[in-house]
Formats: sequence, structure tokens, C-alpha cells
Amino acid sequence: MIQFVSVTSFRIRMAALLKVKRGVYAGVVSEICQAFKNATIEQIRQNRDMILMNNDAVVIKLRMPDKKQKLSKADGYRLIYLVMKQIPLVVLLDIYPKRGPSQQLDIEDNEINRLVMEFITELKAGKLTLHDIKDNLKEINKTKDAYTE
Amino acid sequence: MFVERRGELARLLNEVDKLSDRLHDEFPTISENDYRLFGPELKVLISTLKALRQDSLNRKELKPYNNRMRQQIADLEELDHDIKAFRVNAPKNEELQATMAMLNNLDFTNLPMQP
Repeated sequence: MIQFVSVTSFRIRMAALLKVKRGVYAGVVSEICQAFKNATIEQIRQNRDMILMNNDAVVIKLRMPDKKQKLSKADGYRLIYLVMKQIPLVVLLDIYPKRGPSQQLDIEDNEINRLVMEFITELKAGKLTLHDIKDNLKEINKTKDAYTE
Repeated sequence: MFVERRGELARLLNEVDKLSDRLHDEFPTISENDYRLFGPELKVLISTLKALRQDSLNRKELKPYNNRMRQQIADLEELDHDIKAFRVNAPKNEELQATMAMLNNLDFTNLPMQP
């Protein structure tokens, strides 16, 4: 079974996107769930937008549409995730929209470095959050939903 | 002139789409040497597309192409950035390489468990 976990930066970013006025980014949760819902771990690992890789892990920048805003993959979201090769583990690192008030055009290699380091630190400290990809990214090991806090 | 050459413009934009797809497909294997070869041409293509779009913005009959060109420009600029950041600079970024190396042989005993 594939496990989906996130780092703190990802959850902070999601909460900020969902707070943007008029629900501009209200479709972001369903887009992430849609991207992974019926995918096998091999499909998740074998994405053409692999930006970094080593023996045990791959970092992928996934281009996602924003169907709610009728935006194509080019104009939708960029989800940065890390997937391990030896175990079925997907780590959600960051997400940003290509359009709208929280628009971000690119992500730099130093920012990816910071996010991967955050994952390593939070893994060691047992601070990663587990998500249910079939239930709107519900946080499984927390009692409160971070996106509504 | 533009009106008469809409067919040619459509063909050109189809070719740009194919090039963009090809770059996405080849992204994980692009090297610094590859980029040294095609990087300057990619920049010329982007600036030419920008000029072409600017010219066509005031022509009603070319409106359907404007959004497509805008998307293509944004896509190619993002690809150009990512190739530079992750295929050219990242292998030379010692801090990033050290962090990536730490991903090998991680201990997952503290991973949250499904209830």
C-alpha cells in the first residue's frame, strides 16, 4: 500500500492556498487526490518531469491542471514530491499555482534542497504527517484537519 | 499578410508543441553539453514567439492563437529555467548533492503508521 506523507512546509502552503479569497485555489486538494488516486507506485515514480534522482529516491515536479478554474496543466499547479524507490512512500514537499494571486513561476534548486532536508529532519524526529489520498488528503495521524485551522 | 498565413502560423505552433513535448520527454537525460548546444536556439525561439505574439495581439483574426502562444512561451520559459536549475546547476550544487546522498539508506522506523 502506498503511503503519502507531507512535510510542514507543504501543509503551510496548502493552508495558505485554501485561504485565498473567493476560493481561487479551492480545487487544489481534489487535483492532488486525482493525480494519485488510481496510480501505481511505478507510475508515480516514472514521471517524465523528474527533476532530481539518486539511487533511492526521485524528486518530481508534477504539472497538474486546475479543472475548477478551467486551467490546463501548463497553467495549473506544480506539485513537488519525492518518491522512494525501495519502499512505496510518497512525500509531498511543496505545491504552487502558476496563475492567480499566489502565482509562482519557478522553483530553484536551493529551495528543493531545503525541502528535502526538511523531510530528512522530520522523518528522524517522527514529525511527518500521514495523509489519506482517497479522503481529500485527510491527515490520518492528527485529530484536527490542518487545512481548516 | 497575417490573415493569409494563418495556416503557416498554426503549423509553426504545432511544431513548437512537438518540440516542447520532446524536451519534457528528454528532460531527465539532458546534460550540460546538450544545453550548451540547444540553449541559445531555445532562447531565440522564445524571444521570437514573444515578438510574434506581440504583433498578433492587435489582430482580431489571430485572437485564437494568442492564448496558445502565451502558454507555449510560459512552458518553454519554465523548461529553460528547469534545465538550467536541475540539469546544469544541480549536479554542481554540492550542498544539494550532499542532501540527496542522505536519502540513501534512510531509517524509516519513525515513519507514521496507518492506524
